Amino acid sequence: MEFFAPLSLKESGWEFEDKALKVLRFFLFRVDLCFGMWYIYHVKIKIYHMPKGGTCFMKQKINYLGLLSLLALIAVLGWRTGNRGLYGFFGFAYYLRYFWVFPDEFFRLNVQRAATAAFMTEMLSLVPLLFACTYLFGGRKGVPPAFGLSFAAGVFLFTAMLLFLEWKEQRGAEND
Amino acid sequence: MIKNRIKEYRAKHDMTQEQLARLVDVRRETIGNLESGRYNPSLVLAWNIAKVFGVPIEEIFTVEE
Repeated sequence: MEFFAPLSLKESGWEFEDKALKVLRFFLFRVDLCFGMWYIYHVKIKIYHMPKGGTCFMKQKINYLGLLSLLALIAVLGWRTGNRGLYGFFGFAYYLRYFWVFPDEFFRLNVQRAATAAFMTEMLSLVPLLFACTYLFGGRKGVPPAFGLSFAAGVFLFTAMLLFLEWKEQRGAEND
Repeated sequence: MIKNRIKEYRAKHDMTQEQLARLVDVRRETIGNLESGRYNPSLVLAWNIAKVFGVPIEEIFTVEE
């Protein structure tokens, strides 16, 4: 079975598909170009104008925490396969907002603190959850829910802790 | 405990927190927390702030025992 479609479908008698592919390539090239220009302007360099006529460049860094929002795609998989247990992953779309948060050292420190607490919670909660789920579901059937619950606890604590630290940061930031 | 005189130097140079933050590549909230003493800067950040004001680090940041 050919995985990649031939470049010229017209010769194979697929005229409509050939036209559709050309139109798709036309738009994809332009979308790619626009995205590239947007990326360079918004993500790599932002020019700020100082009040007295000077300018300063602030190098815009990518906030990798925003990539956690990709986990929301797992919920789409759940929707397509009918597995309702995966719908909870839609909550990861919340992390999209971090693409617009500049990741300076204070932000990285907050992420470090939240991640440490979440990791420890996830590891330590696994013990009681395994015992509880083994007792409730009986034998091996208790293992997957125990792991799922400890993962959920870790993620929930990470998000909550980060929110709390951001709130503390806002409270502590003096206004001019 | 590290004390600083960032607010004083900002006022001398007629600079807002936002402007200083952009010059040293941090957010305005970070400068605010630095001034209120809720956050101790890294050496690099302290150095950059001192460079912006054109003074040695010890002029801006002091350690209170």
